[in-house]
Amino acid sequence: MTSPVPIAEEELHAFIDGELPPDRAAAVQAALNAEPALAARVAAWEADRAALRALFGPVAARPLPAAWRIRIASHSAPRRPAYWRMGIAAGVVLALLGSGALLLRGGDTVLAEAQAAHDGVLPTTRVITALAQNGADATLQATLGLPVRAPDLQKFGYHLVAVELYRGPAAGLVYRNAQSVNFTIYVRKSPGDARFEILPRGKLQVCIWQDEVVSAVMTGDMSAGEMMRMAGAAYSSLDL
Amino acid sequence: MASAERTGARRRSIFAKDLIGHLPALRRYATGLTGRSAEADDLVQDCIERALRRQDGLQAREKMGAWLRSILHNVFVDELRRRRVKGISVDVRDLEDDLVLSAPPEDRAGMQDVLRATMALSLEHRQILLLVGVEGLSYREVAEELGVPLGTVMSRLARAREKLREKLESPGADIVVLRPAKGGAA
Repeated sequence: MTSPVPIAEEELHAFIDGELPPDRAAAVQAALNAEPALAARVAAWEADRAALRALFGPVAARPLPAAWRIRIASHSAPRRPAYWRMGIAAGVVLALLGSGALLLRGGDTVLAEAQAAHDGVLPTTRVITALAQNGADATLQATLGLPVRAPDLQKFGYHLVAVELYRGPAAGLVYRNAQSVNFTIYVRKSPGDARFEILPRGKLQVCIWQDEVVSAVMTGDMSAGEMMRMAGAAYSSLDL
Repeated sequence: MASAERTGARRRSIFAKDLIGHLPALRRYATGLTGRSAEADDLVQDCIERALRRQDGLQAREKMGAWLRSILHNVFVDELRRRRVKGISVDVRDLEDDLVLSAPPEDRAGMQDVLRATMALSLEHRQILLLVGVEGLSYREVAEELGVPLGTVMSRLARAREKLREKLESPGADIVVLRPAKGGAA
């Protein structure tokens, strides 16, 4: 009535999961065609598997908590104290850090552009000052063609003082605190790969944070810990 | 020495990037094990800490998924044991609504049933259903990850699917106690 070799219960499941060799898969298929009750059992297991996927699958699409990225990035950030143990080599390494040479490894154009923008040496196409939040967001979206907005960093004591536009297109968001210290966010389209790093540059901290869509480089005069907190807040409210 | 330091930094940076890349799937797996988003996130957080501390324990880059799941599983089992010692049980009526709420309204009741039934299974059965059905691992990969023969994977999966069916066809008690699979500490 069914196949010459009896079908084991396990084979029915292996059939669903595509784990059977072709001859056994054919035997199971024949049995399913011949026995509606068996076909109904197998269909129910398949439906349950689909239900589990539907239930838990979307969890993987949720944005990750910023704290996780920050924790991981801070753990893997260059450990500067180790350089000190190297004695004479330390001077060389610090000189490299100071010159920003480490930032430029691998022809890192986004970081190089952001560094030039922060230093005010990247030619702007337009500078907009004294703008309302809505105006800044509309300008950013129109210029970059990206779903981004200027993060509100008031709780860190910084407010938006200017939006600078560059060729590329790219934009620089300039924030300033009461002590006239600048915090900048350089934003442009991502080259594609996800990345998170916090790099010291002299007394500045530079944080590059990019996903597949947006590349953001944040630069500020602060401790690495402060940078992590601000970068976390900035990045999570940068996306629309 | 400087170059050794730089190599170490580079290795850490690759590890960090890989780790972040694995987190969405790890979070999905954790949610399947616990049935609650908040608890799953706590679990992933603990897992991140352990993974960062033990990154030298990772044998090969492509094994990171399995390695992280095994860490996560251990963290979870420890947690269950702690709870069992304290006698904490879980009311399935409290099981996360947010998982179910992401489904279209007409599917929610069904999803709620599946969630309850899944959480009423033994951890061992829930684990294999998730690894094969949701994480999409092959039987061979599951066997390797759990350190059991292929035949065991197949028979355990068959039993797990059968149990899930039973729970769905006869909705049981509202109270389930989440337990470790075997040999729990007392």
